Amino acid sequence: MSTNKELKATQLYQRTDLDQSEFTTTADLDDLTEVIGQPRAVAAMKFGIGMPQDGYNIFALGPAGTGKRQVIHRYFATRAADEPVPDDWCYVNNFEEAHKPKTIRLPAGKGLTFRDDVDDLIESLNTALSAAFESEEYQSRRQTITEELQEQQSEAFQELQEKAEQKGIALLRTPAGLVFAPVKEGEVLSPEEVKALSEEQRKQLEAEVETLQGELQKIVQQVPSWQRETQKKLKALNREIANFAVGGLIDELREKYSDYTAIVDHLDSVQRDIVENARDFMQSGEEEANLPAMLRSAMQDSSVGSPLARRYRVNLLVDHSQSQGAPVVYEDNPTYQNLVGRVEHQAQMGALLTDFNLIKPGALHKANGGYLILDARKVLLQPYAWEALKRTLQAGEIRIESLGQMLSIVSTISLDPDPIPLNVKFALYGEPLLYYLLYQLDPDFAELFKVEADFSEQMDRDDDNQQLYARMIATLVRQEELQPFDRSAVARVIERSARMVGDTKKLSTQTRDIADLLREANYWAEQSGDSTVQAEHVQQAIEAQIYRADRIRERVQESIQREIVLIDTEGERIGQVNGLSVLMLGNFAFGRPSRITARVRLGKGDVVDIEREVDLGGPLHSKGVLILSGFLGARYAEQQPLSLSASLVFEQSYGSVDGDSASSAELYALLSAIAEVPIRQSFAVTGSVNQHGLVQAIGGVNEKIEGFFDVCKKRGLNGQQGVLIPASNVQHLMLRQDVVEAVEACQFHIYPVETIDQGIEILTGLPAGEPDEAGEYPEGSLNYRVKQRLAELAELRHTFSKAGKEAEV
Amino acid sequence: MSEERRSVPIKRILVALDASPHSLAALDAAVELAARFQAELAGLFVEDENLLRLANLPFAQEVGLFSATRRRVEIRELERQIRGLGRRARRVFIRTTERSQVTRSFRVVRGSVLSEVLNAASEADMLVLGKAGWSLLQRERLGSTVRGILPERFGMALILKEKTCLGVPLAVVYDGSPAAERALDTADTMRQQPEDDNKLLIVLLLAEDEPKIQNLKRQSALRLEERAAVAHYHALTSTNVLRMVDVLQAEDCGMLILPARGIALQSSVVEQLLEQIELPVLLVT
Repeated sequence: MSTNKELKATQLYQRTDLDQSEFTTTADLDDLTEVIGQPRAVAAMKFGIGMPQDGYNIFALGPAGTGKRQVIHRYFATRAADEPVPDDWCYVNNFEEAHKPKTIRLPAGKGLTFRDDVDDLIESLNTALSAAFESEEYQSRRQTITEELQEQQSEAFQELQEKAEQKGIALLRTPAGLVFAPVKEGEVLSPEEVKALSEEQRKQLEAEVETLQGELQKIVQQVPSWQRETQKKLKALNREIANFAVGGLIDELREKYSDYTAIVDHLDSVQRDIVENARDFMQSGEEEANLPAMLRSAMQDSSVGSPLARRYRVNLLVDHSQSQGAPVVYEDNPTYQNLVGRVEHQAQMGALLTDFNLIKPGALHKANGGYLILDARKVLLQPYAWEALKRTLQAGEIRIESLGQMLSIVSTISLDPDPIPLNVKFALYGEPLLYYLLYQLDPDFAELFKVEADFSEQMDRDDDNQQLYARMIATLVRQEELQPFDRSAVARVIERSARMVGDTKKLSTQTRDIADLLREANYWAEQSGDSTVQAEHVQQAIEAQIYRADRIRERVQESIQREIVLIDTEGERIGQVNGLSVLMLGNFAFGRPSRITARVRLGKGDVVDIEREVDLGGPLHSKGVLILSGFLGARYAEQQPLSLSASLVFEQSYGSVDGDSASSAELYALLSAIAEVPIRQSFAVTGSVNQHGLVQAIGGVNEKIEGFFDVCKKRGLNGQQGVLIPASNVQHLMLRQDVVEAVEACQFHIYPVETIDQGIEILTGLPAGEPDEAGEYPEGSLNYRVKQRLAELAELRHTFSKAGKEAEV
Repeated sequence: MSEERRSVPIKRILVALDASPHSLAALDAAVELAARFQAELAGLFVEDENLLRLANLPFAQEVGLFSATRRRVEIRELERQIRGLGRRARRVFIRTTERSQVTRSFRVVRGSVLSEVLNAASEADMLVLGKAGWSLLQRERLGSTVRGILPERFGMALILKEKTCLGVPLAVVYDGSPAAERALDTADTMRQQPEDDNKLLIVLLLAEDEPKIQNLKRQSALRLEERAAVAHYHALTSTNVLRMVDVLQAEDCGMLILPARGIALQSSVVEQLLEQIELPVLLVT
């Protein structure tokens, strides 16, 4: 049987006792280096970092504000500091296949020296080549070769011409060719003169011209091959001169980097290429100099450099010359290109051009050999980023592919750079929902992210943890450069943390909210000119937070005060009880009393939930109401049909209602209506009920109590008012200070109830009544009245049906 | 202006064009001179009768210069080609001259190239022409027209090789002949005209022996003294006349003025000199 003991003030608020630790302000506390309250997540992190095999990447899931990224970063950074610095990566020109730039991998720091050395080489090449090609030696040898061709041609023609002249025939030039014609004193013979020749002479002349023409033809036919020969000789000369000019320079580098085969091979091809093309570079430089200034500046954009520089430069993609340990990279904007890198294009005189110099690294390149942290939500929001990430992880190499090219949006020349092998430990972080969705919907996900680091939003509130929590507060205070918090302020923050999770035995791990509170308390302390932050400042910060958010609550309270929304806080009524609901707006929750009424009449035993009839009641609410029928039938109408029809309604509720936390209130209203016993309106009720009449825990108990308290307080507390809560919710009580004080002054009461019987006794002042062995309740008890009334209704129904009439209500 | 009696008037310049690279250099120089002396510039293209006659020969066949194919020379085709060349020459002439403010005229005539050029030159103070025409034969560096005019009386003829232009200092060959006197006068005229202070004149004295050279030097010095010219003298004998090429190079000369028929210079030597000298050469008769 119930004791109906109301709760004491001390049970309403679990104070924080920091007596064990000896500190005056947070300045006396050490920084917290470990992560508190997340043992599971930390173990997962350690495991994930330690597992070298593929696929053991980490997904940190947890509510926002639990510091997932900081924790990941801290663990990664600690581990990375002891790991070797990864290699540098360069892209260099592939002279055989220009669209497939080659990679060179070098120990950390070597990349930079190599690039600088090559830059120096290019600078020297320019001078060495122009010196070589402007040298007397080259010029005169070149001239010799070209003159040789001219001489060869002239000689051939001269010989022929002389031969012709001896026979009185001249070689004449027409606009399109050469003709042999008989001449006399420099003038071509006229047809008459030819006719005047004897037959024999003419025939001889014709034969001679014929022979000469044949010879001329042979010479002309030979000219192209002579020219080719000359070109070949010139090319050989160019090659020889270039080789001499650059050989020494490149040899120096070759010796310096003799340990790196890739570099030596590359230098070999550089030398070959320079020797092949040296003369062209010199000429293209001259040609450019002849262009108008505007065009020249358009072509020689500083970022592109000279053709020589463009061709031989080293594109240092990943430079670890300044790195300590393995890299830990967080990519804030994980677009496709920011992840896998990109090939940029340069607009040159209207055309988009690119070469290996325009390959830019992505986060994967920068993190290669180390750790990469990404926000799962951001990755999923970026088109193609998630697929690219998976593909890269699966392939174990970073392959730069242009999105535009992939989707055939742009068709300009592009590159297909050699892929770079990938060795990186990944951590994604995000809300739990994302993790579970990915797990369910993406078949690759489980394969790639085997380590689940589950961050909890709350932690146990025991003495040790409270000490650690105080140190965490101290750490945050120092990080944020706030004024020190004194002991009372720290205690108040810890208490607030418990209220955030609505549990006296738990603390919130949402450090973001705690940090907000610290900053705001610091602000109020500064406003009042205090050099340490005290409990009152923390309280002020909390109240200010609530004030900023509670405009709607105020409107609700106001409409109750003005009796627009009808809530009684005194007197008695049959079939009417004050229920409590919680509204959540953003991060702010508040309780709101609602009047719940019940009416009964003769019927077939159904309890009508009016909310559900009009589609305002959610499924959980409907479930609660159906449980009531179950309870009524089982307890009071075992031997007879339940012959009533009852209707239940949340008065003045114009929105949807869900949850079963009002089911006990509805049952009280129903019992009151059936038994026709009035209920004290000075009480409000919360709690769900099961078919056996046990009252069960509900959420938001603190807000609900405070919501009713505020209504009563505005009207003036009369010492009778109070709230009935499920006994199992007592451990969640972290009530506002004014509520605690009112209870202490016996102005307000909070009753924990375990059963409906306990509750109805408090609400009606009647004993509930225990059934005897025959199942009969003592006369005068509430249960007796209920059963009596139901029996009457059953009888009435029986009479109706006997008379052949069906009761219609 | 006391030397006016000796200054050489250049009022009309004739440039013979055949649209070859050499003749283009000649055109540029002619335009420059015309502008300098405010002279009238006349362009001339001769449709070669010799070639046209060729087409009438029954057995004449043309060998393509590029394709090496043989084809019959058709008179109408050849005429069209020659007219085409003439149009090209006219186009080049107009394009080149329109930038300068010279009085200009262009004429196409048909006939023997040499006689038409000489004929037209007789009406001009100076004839300008390319060193060679379309000749393929590089060894023979002089064109037939240049060779043809040498024995004639033509006043002044400026001969240019492709890719060359007029320059300073001027070099002049002096052998005491009347032509050499005129060459000296011409050099003076040419020297005074540009508004620069290069008064240097390279005088190449040409005689058989040393005493004669000294004599020549005295004569020329006397003439030059009146004109406040600075002269460098070089002595050449008829046996080593070809050394002239080296001297011109060593002095970095910009143009040579050569008496075409001097006492000491045979026509064949002039031809040889013209072949070897790369500079613009102004022949004076």
